[in-house]
Amino acid sequence: MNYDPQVNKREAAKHYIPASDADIQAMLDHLGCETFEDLYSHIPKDVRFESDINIPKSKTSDDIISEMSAIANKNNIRTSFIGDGLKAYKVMDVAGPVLNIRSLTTSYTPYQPERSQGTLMTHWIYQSLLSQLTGFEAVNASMYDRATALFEAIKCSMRILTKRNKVLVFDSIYPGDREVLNTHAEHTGLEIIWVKGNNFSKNGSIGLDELKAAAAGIEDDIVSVAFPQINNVGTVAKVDDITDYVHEIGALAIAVIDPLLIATGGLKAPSKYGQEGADIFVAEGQHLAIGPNFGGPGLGIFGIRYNDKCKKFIRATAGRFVGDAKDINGRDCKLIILSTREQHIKREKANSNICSNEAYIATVCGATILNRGDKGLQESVEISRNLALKSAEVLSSFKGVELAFPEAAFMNEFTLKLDTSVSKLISSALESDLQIGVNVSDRIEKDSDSYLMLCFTDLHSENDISKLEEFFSNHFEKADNNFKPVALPACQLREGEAGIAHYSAQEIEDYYKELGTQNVSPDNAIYPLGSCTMKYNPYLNDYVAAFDGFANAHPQAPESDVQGCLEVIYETQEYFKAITGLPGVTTQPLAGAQGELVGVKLFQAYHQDRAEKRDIILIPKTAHGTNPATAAVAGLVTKKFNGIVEIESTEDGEMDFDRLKECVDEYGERILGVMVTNPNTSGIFETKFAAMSELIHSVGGLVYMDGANMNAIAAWIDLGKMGVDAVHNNTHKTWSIPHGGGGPGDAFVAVSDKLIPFLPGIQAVKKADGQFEIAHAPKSIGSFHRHEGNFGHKVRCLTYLKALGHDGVKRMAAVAVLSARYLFSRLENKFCVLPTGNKRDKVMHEFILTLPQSTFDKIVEAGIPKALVISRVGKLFLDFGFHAPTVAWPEMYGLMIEPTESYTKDELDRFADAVLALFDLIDENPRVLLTAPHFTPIDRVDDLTANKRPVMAETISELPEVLPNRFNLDKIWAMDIPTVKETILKAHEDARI
Amino acid sequence: MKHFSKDHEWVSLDGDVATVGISIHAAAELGDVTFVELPETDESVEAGAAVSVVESVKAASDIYAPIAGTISEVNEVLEDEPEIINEDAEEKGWIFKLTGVDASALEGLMTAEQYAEFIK
Repeated sequence: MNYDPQVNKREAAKHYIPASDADIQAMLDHLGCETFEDLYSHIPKDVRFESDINIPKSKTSDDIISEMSAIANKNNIRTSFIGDGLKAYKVMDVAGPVLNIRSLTTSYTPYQPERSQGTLMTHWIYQSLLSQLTGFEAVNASMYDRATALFEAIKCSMRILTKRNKVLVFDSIYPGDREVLNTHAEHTGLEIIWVKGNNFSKNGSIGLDELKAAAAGIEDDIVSVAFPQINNVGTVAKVDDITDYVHEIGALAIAVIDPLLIATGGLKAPSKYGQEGADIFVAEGQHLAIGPNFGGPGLGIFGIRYNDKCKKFIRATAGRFVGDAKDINGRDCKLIILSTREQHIKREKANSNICSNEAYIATVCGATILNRGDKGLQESVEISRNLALKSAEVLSSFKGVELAFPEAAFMNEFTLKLDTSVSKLISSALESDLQIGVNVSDRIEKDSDSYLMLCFTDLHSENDISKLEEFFSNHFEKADNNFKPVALPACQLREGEAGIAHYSAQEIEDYYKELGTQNVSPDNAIYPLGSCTMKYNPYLNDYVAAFDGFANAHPQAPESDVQGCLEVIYETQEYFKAITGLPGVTTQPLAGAQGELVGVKLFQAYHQDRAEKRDIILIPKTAHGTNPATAAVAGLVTKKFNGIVEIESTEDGEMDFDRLKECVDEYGERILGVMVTNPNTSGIFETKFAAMSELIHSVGGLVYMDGANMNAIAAWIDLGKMGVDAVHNNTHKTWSIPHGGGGPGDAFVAVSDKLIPFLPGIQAVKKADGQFEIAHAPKSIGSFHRHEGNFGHKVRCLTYLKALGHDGVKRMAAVAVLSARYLFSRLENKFCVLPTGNKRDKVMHEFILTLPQSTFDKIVEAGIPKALVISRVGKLFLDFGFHAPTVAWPEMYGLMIEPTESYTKDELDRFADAVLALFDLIDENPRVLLTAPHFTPIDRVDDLTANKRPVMAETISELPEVLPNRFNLDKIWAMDIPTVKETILKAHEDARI
Repeated sequence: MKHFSKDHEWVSLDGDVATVGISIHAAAELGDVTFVELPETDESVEAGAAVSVVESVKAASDIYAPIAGTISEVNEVLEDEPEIINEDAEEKGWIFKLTGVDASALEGLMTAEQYAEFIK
């Protein structure tokens, strides 16, 4: 892939802001403002930055490419046998082209199914293929990673068997996953009992005896047992025995698998374990889609049984499911179903706080599975397995080298016991340009340094074994070969073929491109989803993230081999310290929702450290559902006690400060903290934020700022001065990471001094000699990802930050506010404003409109219930060639519009003209909403049947049909707005109702 | 005779068994019901406790026990045919039954006439 700055006018523009100086001046003039400063004049001066923030000035793309490639080159990408928590397999040819289909990568979560069939179909294919591989009827559209998917699986099991309360987990899952579980369980009352998974009983049944011992006497309390198919020393578990025992005691079996290894020719699928199969499975799937990328974006795979025997399990799950549906005229289509489980509807009662998933990695995963096909998958399994066997034979023929578990079967990863120091051997192997594997000594024997685990995949060849052999021959003497591999018993293996269809890279690329035509992208026009910051996502970010040094760095490689990755993390920390005005940053969080969870857990740890028990969190009523859901996940809401106290807003849309004072008086030192979005969910800056912080601090509480709306204030407002103790930014909003049709998201959390000792994950530290090292906070709350987060997105984010510089960040925020305020001024006379007290000179980066009562009345008379009016109005935006605004949230009758800084004045004017025309259209012909949308590939979706009788997979024997747009988007974009309006009216008149 | 709560549940007492559901008005407000999460039997519940959930495509509403008692039976038909709530909320669409109830607890609820006034 080459980088071409002329690919889009936004790419070529300074700071990716295409509005000209004349555009900006004209908009300022229109608003009666002289400078950008005037846009912020309603915000108290004492929370503003006094001077430019301390980050470098904006750089050219050429400079960024050479700077970032120098950083990438600091990583040493060697022949590697590191597998463990994240394997590296061949990245299929089709991955690159699919990763570059912009209308799929840059689009939002498919909440508007009529304009998102492309995204929905890619998820459907992913779900269906994973369903076919595993035999599970329901696989969700993905989760963050294996570790968090396992936590969600455990929580899910507890909602299914509500009368039991203990969870058993084999400690032979990967250590990174173990830490994530422990971190999440803290303060929630969840008791995890660890089963020694790597012990060997006399009959060779790995872990079963230990499981029985751990369960003895508490069998009736056990909710679920989670166990890996392959233990963290490479041995294959006797999954049949374990599953049958788990079912015997009435608990649920949660399998942790590697989906690639259960393909044809591989291990048994989790639906076939024992008599009845496992009930839930989780897995990592990053290696099926992309390279290691220093650990992420990952792909958490989650599946659950859904059949007549266990129809209700699905209701207990987290994460999005795509279901089969029909539109109101009977066309086949897809739809997000079962949404009532989610935080945006159920708030603190939701099954999880998670909003995003790893949608785009799932999309690529689906495409690469089709590209491999059954034969390709089988080949990968067999190459991996055969090379591992061969290598085990070669290496164990050295004196002082033996298989650590000679009686246990392994698949493609095995552990050697060496008579020398493994850590020293790993270091000296670097000189031979080899990463020989992972030191797993502490998993097997306390204080030992003798166990080395090596992994083989389809990236390896016989030649790599020769390299290993040569290296070993320098350290060990040759001896007689007495290698006797333990055969994998038939009961551990897949029966028959998985039957995955195969398509060429070209066929798949063409198909996915066709799916792309069903979506819209911020590349082409305003994507007005309020609260989502659908700004332009620079190509340069993707170009840099794909550098070999970044894409192929393994997160468990020695520190000296990943200096480039640590530099990216270090620089990101420093940039965000300057941008937020706060002294500490963690780059680990995977998304905004997880950032919030990190924040609340930091608060809990801080108070616990001071031996204080606090159980109340104050959250504005207007907060996004994720905020209360996060508080619940952190343990502040239980069946018997709800620690969330809601704060109402006043008519002007700001938090009711008097009510806040009352709450502080009432709860005082019980207050853990507050969680406030600023600018808030109505796009209004909370001008009393600093006073609020002072009040909360006066009773010892802490202040969390939800930074979802940072795009309006970055480099203008100093969060330190506002008294913020912790804040997250969604890098997929403000910092230009693509939304991916639902994910992967990404975030960082910045904190005040008080919370620095508790930060999770790693800190990258720059030493005096310019090298980087990994440090951990002394009282760290733990870890939220199996490795160090979505590193690939950190590269994208840093690339963007370098392009913006301190001048560009400030300009980005100001133009975002200017664009929104300009748009507002063009629309405010025809529409009504929400909250009713909002005013033009308080509008930040987004605003909420509603229809006048008289228009509502006409629409209701035309036959649409009032509760549905706004969502139907949203459908009409699709006909104008735009995505819909955010409908019916946070105001039930509101349309929330956020234009971002990515569009010219002409583009803003066209959008304004369209919205005004849309208003006239429904005011004059309200019945048009009965048939809208008219130009999308499908009519409005029948969401009722799809939700009542969910179908979440099919056998993909041929690529599902793609229905064409009923009116080409390019044609709509080329028309003037009055013509679009006429065309819609004509389509309405021709439509069947 | 039915009594109604402010949360739009109805309760009808037959001997010491109380049958509970949601009102026709509530069912209409909720729209097409896609799922009913039924409570577990043998559980004793306080008045006002959230015991069940009725869901439409985009909303989930808690159903509260209008009076205290022990859940003795649930309407399992709703698991497969949640649409009965929309078709016949106040008869076939009953959700659960309570035993061991105190008849005087009904005094705190509304009569059908009062409820009709309440939802105006």
